[in-house]
Amino acid sequence: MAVSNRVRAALTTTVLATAATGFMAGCAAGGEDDEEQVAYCTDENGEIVDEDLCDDDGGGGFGGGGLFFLYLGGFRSGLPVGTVLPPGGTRINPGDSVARQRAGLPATGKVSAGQRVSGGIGSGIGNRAGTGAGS
Amino acid sequence: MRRIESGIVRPGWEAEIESQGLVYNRTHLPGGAVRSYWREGPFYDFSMAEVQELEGAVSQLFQMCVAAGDHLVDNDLFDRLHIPPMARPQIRRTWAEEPPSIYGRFDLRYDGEGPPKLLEFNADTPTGLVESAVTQWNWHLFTGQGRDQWNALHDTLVSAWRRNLTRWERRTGVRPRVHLAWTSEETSGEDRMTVAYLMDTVVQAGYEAIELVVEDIVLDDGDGRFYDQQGRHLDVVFKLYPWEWLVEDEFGPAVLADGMRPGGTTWVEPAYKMLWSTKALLPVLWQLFGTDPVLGQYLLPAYFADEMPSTWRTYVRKPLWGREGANVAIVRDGEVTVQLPGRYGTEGFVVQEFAPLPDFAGVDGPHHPVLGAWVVDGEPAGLGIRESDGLITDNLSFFVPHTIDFTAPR
Repeated sequence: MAVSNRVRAALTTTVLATAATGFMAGCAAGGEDDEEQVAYCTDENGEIVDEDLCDDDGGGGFGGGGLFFLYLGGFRSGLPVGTVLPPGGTRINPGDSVARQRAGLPATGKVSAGQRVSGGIGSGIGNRAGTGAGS
Repeated sequence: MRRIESGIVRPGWEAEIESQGLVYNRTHLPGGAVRSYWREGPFYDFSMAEVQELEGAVSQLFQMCVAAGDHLVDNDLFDRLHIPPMARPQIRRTWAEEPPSIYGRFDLRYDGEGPPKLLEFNADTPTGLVESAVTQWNWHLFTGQGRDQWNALHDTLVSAWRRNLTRWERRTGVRPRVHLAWTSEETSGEDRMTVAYLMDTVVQAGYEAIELVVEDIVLDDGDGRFYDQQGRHLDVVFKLYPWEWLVEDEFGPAVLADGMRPGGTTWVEPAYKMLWSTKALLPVLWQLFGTDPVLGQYLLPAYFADEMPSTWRTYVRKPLWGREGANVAIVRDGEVTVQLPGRYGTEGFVVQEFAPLPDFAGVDGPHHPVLGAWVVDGEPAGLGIRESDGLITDNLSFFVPHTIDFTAPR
């Protein structure tokens, strides 16, 4: 009975070889941004406003007479209205469903203040156990 | 089974194995020294009869694990396993429906004389795959040592994806894309390379493979479904991330709820692997099969710590959910003689008869091998050996390649 691969030849492992080359070159991608991304509804000055103003039903970035954005970045969750967020986040037009999805937000509808959009796996108790995920 | 000490050393082997994917070869020791995880030169050799004995044992062990799973689910023994209540419906569902499952690794004690004995089953997130499937296969081909190697990993992984994904596609009517995820907390490159290699096997099975880190998995709190950062739904996710961590994470309840809905994300390995990746499997197997004259020979006596026979003075104590040897203790005459540090154990322990690993000593001292026997799609598929100087195989062990029917050159 055969106990080894059918063809006695080097394996085709293109993805692995490419990843290895990249890793050895010190440009390991994928893990450089492990900051949690949190979205708020803000005005043009980065001040957190009521989330209803960013409901895309309100008309594509304009609501209540001003210009409002979904502002996404490595912020703490649960910040109150009135807080001014630091620069460096990503501004998303609440009416742009493609941009919203690209940022990991629901394509339409209201985004709750401080909604956590990713980072909900891998940051928990288990992953701080001091050993690798493999076994 | 024997250990050949002075095999061929390939010129430039270190750069070669790194470029082939073993980027985590350089092991940083406590104290700052760096050494190679891969052993170049020494290797283990088996007769074909020994490999067939190991294959037979692995088949039987897998069947025993299936029976143990039925026993645990049918008798609702989740409390004993310390599996949280919220995970149980998903475990029951996946156990009944058999969604895609690709691989696992039995760790065996074996010396070529007595039958192989199960030490544990790494059923959920086994690593050591790149060195088993790729590095040692290339070593075998290049050095020409041995008539063969127990290594059908690549072929069987490709077949396993093809079979499982075709079945998934027929059931749902959707051609799945497969996301493969690792945690960015793991910085040695091991998890990332494992995922990259598995991507190769997915692609060769004819499906789209997309790399992802678990930290980037997006939960849409509108529809409760999971997406990647580009907004693509996660149809099938291979996760190199243990279930017992996943269910504790913030998205854990959403993962479990989504999995119960039609069109939800399929996670590979499935949630039922929690039944097997806990060390609680060991006393359950012993209870079910310990007295069977054929099957019992592959098991070591094992008990939940609170049911340990009062006569036991020498044994190994393992935490239910430990990894890489963490918190494993060897107790002799009632005293802990060796213990690895770690943070596990609050969830309880099992005890297993102390069966010291064999020593294939060389000029450089003792070598205690553990055989990692791979199961792919429920069938024996290959072997990877790690050896340690000490009796507990931890994350500082060495990987040593193997051959079948090696004949020394004259």
